[in-house]
Amino acid sequence: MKVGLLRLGLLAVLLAVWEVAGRAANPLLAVPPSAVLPALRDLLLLRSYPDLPASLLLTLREIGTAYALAVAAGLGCGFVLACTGSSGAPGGP
Amino acid sequence: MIAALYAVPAVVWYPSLMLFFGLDAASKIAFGFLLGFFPITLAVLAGVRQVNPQLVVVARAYGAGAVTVFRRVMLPSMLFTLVGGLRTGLALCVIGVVVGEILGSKAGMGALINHAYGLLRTGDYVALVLVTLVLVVGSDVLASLLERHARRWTE
Repeated sequence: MKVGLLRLGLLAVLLAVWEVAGRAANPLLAVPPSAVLPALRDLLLLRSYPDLPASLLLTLREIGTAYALAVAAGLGCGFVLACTGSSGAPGGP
Repeated sequence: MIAALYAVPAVVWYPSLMLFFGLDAASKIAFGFLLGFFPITLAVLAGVRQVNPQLVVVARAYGAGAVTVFRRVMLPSMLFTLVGGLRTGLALCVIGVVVGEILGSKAGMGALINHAYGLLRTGDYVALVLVTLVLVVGSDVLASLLERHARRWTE
């Protein structure tokens, strides 16, 4: 409970600092959270970037493929190196 | 050698990957793979080193086969390290793919972020970063659930 309140407080302080700093800065380079929320709404309603779902799906697919390949190669390579004892050899991992 | 290769900043390979695989998904997958491969391999090696050899000898003496020794002795001993490596690998794969898309891509979240940033549409840029952040945090939550499940299994 206390930790949760502390986290919420920290988040509120961060947002307040961001809001103040964002309003003071050049609007082309930094925006406050109050300007991000309408942009986020437009984004999620597919007004600003209609191809968001396709892009998200593509990124997820790329991550899934890269991870599956990394797991297969990493496990295979790791077990082969460990079983052949090459991991302890000079110049080994 | 693997640890030495892991120490090389992976981003130096990205121009070569783009030359080999082009601007499509393949170069991002290759970059994500390159970042995720090393921690997983090193976690397997560290995990295997953690297995008490005496337990393996005792299991063999009791007539356990190679598969049983792996499943009942080695896997529980190394699982925690292995799952930690898999979690790190997932986080680095996500970073690799998104960074790859930002550095050079025609589609994907990184390309959208790059587009918004290039046109100084800062509000859209921050909103896209927030959506990507949700994606990253979601994948980490999934990995942490897997890690917790593995911890319960080894206890």
